Amino acid sequence: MTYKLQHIILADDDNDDCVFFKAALESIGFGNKLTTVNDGEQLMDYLIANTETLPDILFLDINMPRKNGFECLKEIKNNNALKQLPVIMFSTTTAKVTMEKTFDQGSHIYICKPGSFKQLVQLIKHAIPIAEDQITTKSELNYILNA
Amino acid sequence: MTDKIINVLLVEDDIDDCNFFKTALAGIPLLTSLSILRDGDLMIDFLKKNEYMLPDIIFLDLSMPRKTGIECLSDIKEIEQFKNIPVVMLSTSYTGSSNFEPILIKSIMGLGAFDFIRKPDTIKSLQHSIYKLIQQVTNLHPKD
Repeated sequence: MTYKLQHIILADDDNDDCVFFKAALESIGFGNKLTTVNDGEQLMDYLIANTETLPDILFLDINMPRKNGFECLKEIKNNNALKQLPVIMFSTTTAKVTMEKTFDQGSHIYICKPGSFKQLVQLIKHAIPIAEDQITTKSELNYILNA
Repeated sequence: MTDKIINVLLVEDDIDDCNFFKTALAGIPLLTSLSILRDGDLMIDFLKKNEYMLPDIIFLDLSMPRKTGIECLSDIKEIEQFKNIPVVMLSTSYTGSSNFEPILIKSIMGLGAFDFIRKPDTIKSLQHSIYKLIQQVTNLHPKD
């Protein structure tokens, strides 16, 4: 399978989650570039230093040290050089109010991190075509993906 | 509604993780019977002794002394009468290890694990994962 996304960035402080994410991408045949950063400050430093060659999409955890996902999302959407970057929220939080807050701030896909590897593979398999479609069509429909 | 009791085997050396699992399992709306082995070496003997009442599902810790979870998984898959028992790997004691890499997950799934659970943050999230997995392997629904 070929993917339009050439470069994905994952911001997540949990090492297990990063490993699971990487393995899940490999298992669906995504062989393109994956960058991982482990906190919100690292993420913002990376993005600001690479505004000319931004990743195609960001998977963003909410609970991270130094700068959390909400703060990062707000900064991204208020920065003219970064605001076009599509953001998929990727969090264990399942509170509706949290999801709605991220939709209000400009993310349109929310993945509830599952406990199992197979469920993660399924969710990522669903999320990527939705994200690719949103990038092409500029659709602002909101999606919640939960196992 | 079902009266079937689901036999669950947990192979886990860490007593805190055992208690965590026991509490999570007790909270799911299905009838279950839990056996715990603290060592992978004992597992095949246990299965042989219980050949006529094999577990419906095995949860196997990845990191154990004497015999690792991967070795145990290989053992199960090599024995004809045991190889169809669904085995779910647990990463609970593996966190922070530099050995925990995507290739490890790939190997485990390639060996025939039914699934792989990452370390849970809460009993509720472990409960949710265990319940979903038991439903998948038994096709059973809540007792009430």
